[in-house]
Amino acid sequence: MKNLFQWISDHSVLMIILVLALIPFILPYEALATQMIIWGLLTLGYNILYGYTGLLSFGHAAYFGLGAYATGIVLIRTNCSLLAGIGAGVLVSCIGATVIGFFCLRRRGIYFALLTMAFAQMLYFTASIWESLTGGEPGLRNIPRPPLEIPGLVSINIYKPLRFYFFVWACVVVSLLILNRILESPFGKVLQGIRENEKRAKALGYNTNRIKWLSFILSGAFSGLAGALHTLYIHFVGLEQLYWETSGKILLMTLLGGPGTFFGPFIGAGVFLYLEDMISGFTRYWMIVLGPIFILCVLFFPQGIWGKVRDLADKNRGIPLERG
Amino acid sequence: MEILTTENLTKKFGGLTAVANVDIHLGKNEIQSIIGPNGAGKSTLFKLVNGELKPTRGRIWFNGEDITGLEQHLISRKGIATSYQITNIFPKLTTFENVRLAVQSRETPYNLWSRARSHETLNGKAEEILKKIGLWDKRDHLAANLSYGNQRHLEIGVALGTDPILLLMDEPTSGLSPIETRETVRLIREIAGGLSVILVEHKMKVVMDLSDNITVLHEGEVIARGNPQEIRANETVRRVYLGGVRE
Amino acid sequence: MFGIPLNMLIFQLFTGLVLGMIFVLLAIGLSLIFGLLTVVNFAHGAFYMWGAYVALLCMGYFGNFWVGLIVVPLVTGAVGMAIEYLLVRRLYGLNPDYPLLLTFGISLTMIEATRILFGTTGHPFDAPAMLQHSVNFFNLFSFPLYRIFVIFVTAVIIFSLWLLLEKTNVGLIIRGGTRDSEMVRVLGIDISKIWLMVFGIGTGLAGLAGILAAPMRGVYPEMGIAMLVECFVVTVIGGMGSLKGAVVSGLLLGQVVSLTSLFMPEMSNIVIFIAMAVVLLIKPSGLFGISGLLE
Repeated sequence: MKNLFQWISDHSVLMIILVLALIPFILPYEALATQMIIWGLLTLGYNILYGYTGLLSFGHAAYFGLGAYATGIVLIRTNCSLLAGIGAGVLVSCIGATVIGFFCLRRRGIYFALLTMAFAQMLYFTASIWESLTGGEPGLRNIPRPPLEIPGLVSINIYKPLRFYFFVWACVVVSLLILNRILESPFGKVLQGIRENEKRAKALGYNTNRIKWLSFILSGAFSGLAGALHTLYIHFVGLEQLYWETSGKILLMTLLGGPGTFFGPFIGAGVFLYLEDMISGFTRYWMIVLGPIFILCVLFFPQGIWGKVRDLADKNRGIPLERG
Repeated sequence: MEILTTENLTKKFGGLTAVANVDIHLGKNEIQSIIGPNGAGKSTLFKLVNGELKPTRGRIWFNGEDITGLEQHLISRKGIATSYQITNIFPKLTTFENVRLAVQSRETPYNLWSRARSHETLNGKAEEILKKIGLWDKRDHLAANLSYGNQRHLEIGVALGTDPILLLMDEPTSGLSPIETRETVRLIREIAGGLSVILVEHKMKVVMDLSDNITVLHEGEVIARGNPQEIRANETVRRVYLGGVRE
Repeated sequence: MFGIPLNMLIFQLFTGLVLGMIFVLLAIGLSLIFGLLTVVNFAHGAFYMWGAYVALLCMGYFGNFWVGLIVVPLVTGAVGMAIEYLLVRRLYGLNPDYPLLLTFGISLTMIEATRILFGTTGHPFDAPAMLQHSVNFFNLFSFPLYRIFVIFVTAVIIFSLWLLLEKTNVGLIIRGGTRDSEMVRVLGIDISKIWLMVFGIGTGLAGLAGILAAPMRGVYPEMGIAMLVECFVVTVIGGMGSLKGAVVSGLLLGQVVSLTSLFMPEMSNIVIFIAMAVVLLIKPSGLFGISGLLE
C-alpha cells in the first residue's frame, strides 16, 4: 500500500493528467469538469507563490482577472486567433504581476498579504470605472471562441463542450509539465528554501527579493492563463473575476486541497466546486457552509486533504515524499 | 595578510550601544574565539560581520576588500558563512536538500530548467560535506526530524556548503552533551584546516582547546586579546568573566 | 482657488476629517489587536458591518439611535471576545499567516450570515432626529450636525484610548507589545484576560465605527470589505501596531480621499491605492519607519 502511494506521489504529474482526462466522463456533467480543471490550474498557479515560496497573497484574483479581461477584450475588439487571444491574457497578467509584485515585495510578512489585496481591489475599482474598456458593471458578453488554428496545418473547432474541455486539458498538461520542470530545478529548490527559512537563504547568498519576484510573476502567468481559459469557457468576463471573493475562493481551494503539492490544487478545486454545486441545489448561500469548513481547515487541517492523506500513508516521516 | 580586520566597529540601537570600537584581527587559517559575558555584544558583532546588521561606525575589511555596509547576500558571496546558535535550517527539506541548497548558492539560482536532482557537481559536493559531518546515512530524513545534536551538525554543514573562506560559528556546541561536544570540537578542528574560523563560545574548555587566539568582549568593548595562556592569566578577564563560567 | 469656491473646499476638508476619523477608529482597533496578539484581524471589516446591522436592529426594536451607540460596541466586542477565546487563541505562536486565514474565513461566514438574515440589498439608515439638521459656519457653509457629532465622539474615544494606554497599568502591558510577556506573568496577571480584552476593544471599536458610519454610508453586507482594504492601506502607511501612525495616516488619507472626490471624483476610489504605491516607492517602511514585528 505504501509502495503504491509512493509511486503515485512520484508520478504525480502523470496521475493528474490521467485523472483529468477521465473526469469529464465520470462527473455528472461536463461543465463541472471544465470548471474544475480551470480553477485547478488557477489554484496551481497560486500554489507556486503560496505553497512553494511561502508567500500568502490575498489578491490573486488580480491576475486571473487581468488574464480574463485581456483575452476577452482582445477577442472582441480584434479578429485575432485563439492562441493570440490567450497569449494576450498571459502577457497582460505577467505584466500586472511584475508591477504589482514589485510594490508588494517592498514589504514583508503580513504587510505583503495586505498589499496584494489592496492592489487587487484597486484593479477592481479601475475596471468598474473604465467602462469603455471593460464594459463596467455588466461586463463583456458574447466573447467568441475561435477555432484552434495553426496556419497551414490544422484548424480545430473547439466549440463543443467536450472538445473545449480537452483543449483546456492540453493547456493544463503543458502547464503541468513546465511547472514540474521549474519546481524540480535549482530555482524551484530555492523557492522552497525561502519558504522554509528566508533569512537563512539570504544568509547563504541568495538574492531572495528578486527570486520572490520571479516566483510572483510565474504565479501570475499561470493564473492569467486560467483567466484566459475561463473567458473562453463562459464567453464572458465581468467584475466578479477581479472581486475579493474570487481571491477568497482560490484560498479556500488551496487550503482544502493542500498547499505545496501538485495534487492539492486539483483536489481542492474539485472538492470545492463539487460542494458548491451540491449545496447550491438547496440554497444560494453556500458560503455559510464553506466558510466554517475553511475555518476548520485552518484550525485542524492546514495541510489540506492531500497533505493529510500523505501524512496518514506515511507515518514514518523520516523518509519524505519529495513531491506529489 | 589578515583575512578579517575590523576597525572601530560600532553599533548603536537608539540609545543603546551594543558594540563599541571593536578591532578584530584574524589571520588566515586561524581559529579565533570571542568570549565575554552575556550581553557583551558577541552576537551583534557576528551580525555586523556577516551583513545582517549595518554598522553605525567603523569599517570591515575582508580578504583585502572593504565590505562595510554591503548587503547580506553579497557578503555571503564574498565567502563569509555563519552557523547559528539557534538552529537555523530548512525544516521541511531533507538533510541532503539542506546542504545542497547551500552548495547551489554559488551557482545561478535562475536555472529554471535542469533537474536539481541530477546535477552531478552539486550533488557530489553535498555528499562530501554530509560525509564530513557524519550525516550521509540520514540524508533522506527531514531536517525537522533529526535529533538536536544532528541538527547542530547540519547547521555547520549548511554553512560549509557555501565553500566559505571565513566561518563564523555562534555557539556551535550549545545544548550538546559532553560527548557530542567533543565530537563537534573534532569536526571544527577538521574543517578549520581549510578556512578561518571565528568562534563564539561559552564552554571554556572548548575555547581553550580550539583557539589560536582569543578576544574578550565586555559591554561591547574589547578588554583583552591574546593566546589562550595569556587570556587565562589576564587579571581583568578573570575578574570580569572567567570566574563564573562553566568549565 | 483652483476654480473651487473656498467654502466648498472647507466643506470638503471637514468631510475628509469625518472620513479620516472613521479610518482612525478602525485602524486603531486593528493596530491594537495586531500590536499585542500579532494577529491581523481580517474580520475587522465584518465587525464594522455587524456594528451597522446591530444598530439597525436597535433602531427597529428601540426606535432609538442612542441605545444603539451603547449596545453596538458591547455586542461586537462580546462577539470578538468569543471568537478570540474559541478560535483565534489556538493559533498563537504559529506562523502568522494562520490567524490571517482564520479571520478571513470568519469574515466570509459573517458576511454570508448577514446576507441570509437581512438580504443582499442594503438598508437605509437615518441619522438620529435631533442631529439631522445642519450647522451654519460663519455663513460660509453648512455642515451636517451629525457629522460634527461623529468628529466629536471619535475624538473623545481616541482620547480615552490614549488615556487607557498611557496612564493605566493595563495600558502599559498592552503597549509592551508582546503577547506573552514574562514580566506580566511575574506580576501575577492572567495574560489571557488581556488578550480577550484587547480583541474585544478592537472589535468593539470596529462596531462603533460601523454604527457611526451607517447614516453616512448606508448599510449593506459588503460594506466592510472596501472599508477593510482602506484600513489596511492606512496601517501599511502608518505602521501596524502604532497608534500614532494609525491616527496620522488615517486623518491624512481621509483628506486625500475627500479632496480627490472634489477635484477628480472618478479617481476617489483609487486614489488611496495610488497614495499607497507612492509611499511604497519612496519610504517603504511607512511614514514612521516603524519596523513591525514581521517586517
